[in-house]
Amino acid sequence: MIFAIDLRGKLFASYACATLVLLLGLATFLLTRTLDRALAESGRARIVVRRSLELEALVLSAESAQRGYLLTGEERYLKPYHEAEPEVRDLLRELESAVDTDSPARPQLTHLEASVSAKLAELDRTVELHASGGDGLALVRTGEGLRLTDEIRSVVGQIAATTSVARLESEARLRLVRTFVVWLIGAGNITAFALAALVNGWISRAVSDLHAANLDLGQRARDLEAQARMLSSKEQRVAAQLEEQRFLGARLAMSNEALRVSNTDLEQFAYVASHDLRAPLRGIANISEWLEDDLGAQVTPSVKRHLLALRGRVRRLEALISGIAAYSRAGRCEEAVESIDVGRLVRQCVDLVAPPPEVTVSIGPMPTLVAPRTPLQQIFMNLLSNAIKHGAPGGGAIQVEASEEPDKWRFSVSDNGPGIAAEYHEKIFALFQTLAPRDKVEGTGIGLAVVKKLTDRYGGEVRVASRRGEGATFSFTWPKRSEPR
Amino acid sequence: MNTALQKRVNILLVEDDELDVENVERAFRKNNTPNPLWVALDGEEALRILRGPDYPKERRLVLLDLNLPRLSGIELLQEIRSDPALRPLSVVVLTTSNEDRDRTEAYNLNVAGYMLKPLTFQSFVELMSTLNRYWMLAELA
Repeated sequence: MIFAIDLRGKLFASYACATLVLLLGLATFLLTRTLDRALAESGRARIVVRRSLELEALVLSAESAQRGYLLTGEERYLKPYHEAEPEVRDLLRELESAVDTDSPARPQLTHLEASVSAKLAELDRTVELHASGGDGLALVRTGEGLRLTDEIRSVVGQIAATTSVARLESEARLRLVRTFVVWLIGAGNITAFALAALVNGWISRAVSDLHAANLDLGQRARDLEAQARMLSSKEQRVAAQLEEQRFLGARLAMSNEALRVSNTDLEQFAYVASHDLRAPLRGIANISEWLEDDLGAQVTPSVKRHLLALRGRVRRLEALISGIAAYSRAGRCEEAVESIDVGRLVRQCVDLVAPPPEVTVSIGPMPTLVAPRTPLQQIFMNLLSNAIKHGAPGGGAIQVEASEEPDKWRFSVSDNGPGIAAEYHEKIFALFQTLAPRDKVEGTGIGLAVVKKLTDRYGGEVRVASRRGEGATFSFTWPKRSEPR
Repeated sequence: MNTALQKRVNILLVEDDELDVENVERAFRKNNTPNPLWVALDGEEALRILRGPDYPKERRLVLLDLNLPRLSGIELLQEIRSDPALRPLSVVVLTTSNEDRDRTEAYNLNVAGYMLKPLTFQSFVELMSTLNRYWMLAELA
């Protein structure tokens, strides 16, 4: 906006400059006219003086021709006299045109004309008288001719004086005007030049600014073009990446579908395991009891022992099948989170696993968690039954504790049993892995595997700290914000 | 136990495993249960018996296995609950399936109980004894 006003000001200045030059020219023209007029006036004044003097000389020459004729009577003296008259008329006409009607010399000129006419008439009279044999000299002696000549001389002097004064005045005015013109032209030119230079400076600066702006704009346009090219190449890269991602996504979807199918298979397997495999097993167990029933007294101690062993193996196989089903089921169902008082949950678990009377369970301070209930309950139940199973013979002491870590809780279940050697610490979390002979401690090797599966799934970890003969502490972490993986 | 309050219950056992049928029969014998026992080897046969003339129309109890050929236990239950004549029937599920899904579906179809078949015969005998005693005291539709 400021730039626009500036530009307008500059343009106005340039117009002002042009106008000034025009006015200067006009003024110079007018002043030159005045100067011309003054010069012409001056020239006319000179002519008036010269012609007046010539007139006077002509009249005097005519007079002297008259005198010569009158004295000698010879016609040849009259030649200047005859020549004088037309010349006098010419000179008078010339003077008439050279003196303005409003000039102060005008009345003097009229006076001169009258005097000259009178003089010429007087001369004519004397010459004619003398020619006709009269006494021309007597007329001369009257002094009339002398008086007229004096009068002409006087009037010519007056005209010369008047005209000279006018000429001097005119010339003075002329000088003044000339000085003024010189100054006007000089100053005007300088001003106009300065103004033009200034305006030129402004305009050239504006033009160079514009040029620079244009160059800048060009540069920016090129920059923008380069950026656009870069963006477009980036866009192409992004498009390529998107394409790749879509491809990967499609492959992932295919993998997911395959995974879903295999999960369904697994589910089906778990169902078969928990139902169909169990039925014949129960049949075997039942038949062994019916045999024993039906044989009645015929059952020998050896047969009885074998039948019991048979039922024991059936029970173990049943436990394994249940374990597989439990492991497969572990964490499969999506359960809504709820606020859980872990202390109460642990006490409920203790009730459910029903430890024998000689085992004591002490529970430390427990937090309240927001988590799905079932997996947490299953973990505690499995760890508790594990601790009961492997506790000290004839009176285990189980300790349940909780400790807070920055973004998770750590829960631990300790027993005072025989402990676990370090080389087995990893192994015990594997499926079907047991350490004690199965006939001594009934175990399927599934409980800890389920615990590991569940803690993995909910973003925690399980580990054991134990040394041979010093009991074992199983601990697992549970994130404060639990989301299944 | 006041035997005067006890009334016979007409029990229909729906079970495809002959061993389990014998299990129930043996248990009944061992308990000296007076209740008559009808046996259907699958769901369709069960429906035939339930709608047939031989099976009494009062004091009926169905012991139902879920894993059956042709018409499964759950499908049979759906059939029973959609038939106005059979809808009030008391059904107790006797199965090996400990699946949450089966249990939920069965209870949604108004079963009177859900029992897991015990592993040992001795436990089976005790279960049958308890079951019979309870239902003989119950007022049935």
